[in-house]
Amino acid sequence: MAARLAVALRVGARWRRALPRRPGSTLAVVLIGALFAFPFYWVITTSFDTSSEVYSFPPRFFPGGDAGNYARAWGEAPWVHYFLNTVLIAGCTVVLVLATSLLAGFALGVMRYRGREICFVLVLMILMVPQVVLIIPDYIVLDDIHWLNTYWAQIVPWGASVFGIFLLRQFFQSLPEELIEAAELDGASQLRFLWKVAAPLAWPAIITIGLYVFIGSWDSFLWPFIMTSSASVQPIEVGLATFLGTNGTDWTGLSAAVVFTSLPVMVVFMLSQRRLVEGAFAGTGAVKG
Amino acid sequence: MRARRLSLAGIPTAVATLATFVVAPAAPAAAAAKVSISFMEAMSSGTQKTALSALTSEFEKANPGITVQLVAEPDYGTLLQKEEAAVAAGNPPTMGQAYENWAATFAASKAIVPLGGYVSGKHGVSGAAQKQIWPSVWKDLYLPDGKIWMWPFNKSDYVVYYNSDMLAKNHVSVPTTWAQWVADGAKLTTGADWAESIDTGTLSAPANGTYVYLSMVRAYGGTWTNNQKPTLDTPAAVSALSMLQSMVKKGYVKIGTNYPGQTALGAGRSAFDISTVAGYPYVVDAVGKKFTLEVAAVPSGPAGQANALEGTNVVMFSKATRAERSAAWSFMKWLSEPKQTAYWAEETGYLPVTKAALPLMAGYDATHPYQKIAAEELQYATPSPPFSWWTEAVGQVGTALQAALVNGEAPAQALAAAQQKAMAALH
Repeated sequence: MAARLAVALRVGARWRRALPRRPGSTLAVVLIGALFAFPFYWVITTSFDTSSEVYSFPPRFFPGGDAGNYARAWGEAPWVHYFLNTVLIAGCTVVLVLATSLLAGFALGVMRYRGREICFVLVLMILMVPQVVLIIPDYIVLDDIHWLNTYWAQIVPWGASVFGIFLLRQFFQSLPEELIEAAELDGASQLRFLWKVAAPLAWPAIITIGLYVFIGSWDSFLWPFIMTSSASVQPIEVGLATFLGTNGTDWTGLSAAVVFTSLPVMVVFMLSQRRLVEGAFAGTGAVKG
Repeated sequence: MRARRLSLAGIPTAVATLATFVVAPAAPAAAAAKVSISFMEAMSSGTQKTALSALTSEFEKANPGITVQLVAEPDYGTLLQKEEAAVAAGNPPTMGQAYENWAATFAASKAIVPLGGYVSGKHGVSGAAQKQIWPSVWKDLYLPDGKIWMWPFNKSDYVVYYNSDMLAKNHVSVPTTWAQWVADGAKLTTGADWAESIDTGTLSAPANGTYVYLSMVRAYGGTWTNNQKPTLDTPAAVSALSMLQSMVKKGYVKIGTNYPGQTALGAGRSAFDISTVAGYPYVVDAVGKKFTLEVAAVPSGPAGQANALEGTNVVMFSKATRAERSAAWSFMKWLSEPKQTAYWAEETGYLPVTKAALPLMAGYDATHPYQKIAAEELQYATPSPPFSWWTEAVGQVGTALQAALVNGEAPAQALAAAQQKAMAALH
């Protein structure tokens, strides 16, 4: 009897632990999550519709049974190639941006020299120029150096990020003077200090910049669209434009392609989510210390 | 000394280059060495993509000396941007789709070549075949300098797609005049239903709604241009826009983007979709078996019937070599021949560019009357004015439509502003 009571108490305690302590907050989190997840759910639903069902009103909120859209969309373009291109371009861009942001952020935030503030203002001014204005001059430059329709054209021009430089400059400026002086007394060069001390402390900012640049590169459309013409070097976003037309859009094919090109990234993100978050906060303690 | 030798050595090359321009166009490149040409186009999805790919393969099979690389762009805005960028970089395709105003801009900068020599040349188009090309389509090939700069490819005009069941349910007949369209709108706008959805277009991207409105302007007795200048604020234009504004205010017409007429008609919410005949396959897909879809001619106005000639022509870029130009001419001419243009029309909904294709389409037309209706409308269709400033002018029309229909600005005021800005683009 006593054993049964103990078991019941243990189960009850487990249930109480499982219940949210703040139901209001939990409900809000669930609702916001659902709000963000809904567009993707809607894409999945559309990908199983027939062309006519897409335009049904009231809309149907549950997936239909037309899986043929996937086979059709898969045959429209070399998706594996597009996918690998996108991973390569986004990966290389992230590496390049992190390198340039660390160096420029350090130069603008830690190093002392005349004209440093002017350099920083010049960097910020780049933000003011809309990309559309530059696209044709940039096209001509890339043509002159024979970079049109290459990976280089999609990586190198995006290899420096004003956002990344700004974020790391602000972070490096918050480093205690004593830390820099101690490194100098120990005979560390500035590059060594950056590599061994400043960069590890900046890990949260680096993770943020990396994710920001990766997503930006993954979603990039106009630039690769204008600068490339061959599927052999184009990314997924350009491939998805296959479904847009001058007199209408193939919504079912587009939705199916969005599903199978997004899923690998979503799976990778879900699997590595914990590590990314841990990484982002790993340096926090060191900064406080 | 070395410089002198080099310059002398260049004379034969210069003479040969000059000869390229003086001598009449050469024979098709099919018989010569392998030539590769590129065609920048916007037939990137649906049946347009598959039909153009099939035609290109067939052409390559028939002309083993020519390879055609299709460079597809998703829409006309992007196509223009890429063609302009390629021209600016000195690296244009061999041929490309172009509207009349684009061709005027390219011709002014000598980026494209006139096609008159090819049309009347040894491998050109016979007088009889020329006469078979629809008059409005033939007229559309010329720029104001009197030369042929374009060759017809994907031509269309506007038709009214309508939900026959909804009209019958509301005891409404198909409108034959714009006044009747307004009256029908009142009867059809009930509960969650309305008459029509249009996209006004924007400064950088005119849409179907822009050209439907421009057709109305002509049906009301107005003009788009006069004496090589824009005429966007005529009394007829104000009347047409006032009529549209009243329709929007009463809820008969709704404003949207990305083919809203197709969406609303397909959803069974609106009765009409006035858009180009080239949208036929998309409209059929959107409607499915939900209701009976039928097609009618665009309504007429106090000044009679009017329509806008849509679709593009093909231009040949001047950077191409002599052999590439010959190959490009062979391809564009082949695409416009009766058999090919009939196939293109049946697959995509575009109109055949020559009347000679009609006998080949007799079976298709019998089951798809929309083609006959659209072909008959061609006689009322006006092409886009072939002036480089028209790009800005038509963009200003879209802006005026937005101002009046979305922001409620007075039509006369919105059109006066558009006219002023369009005039500024002349200089």
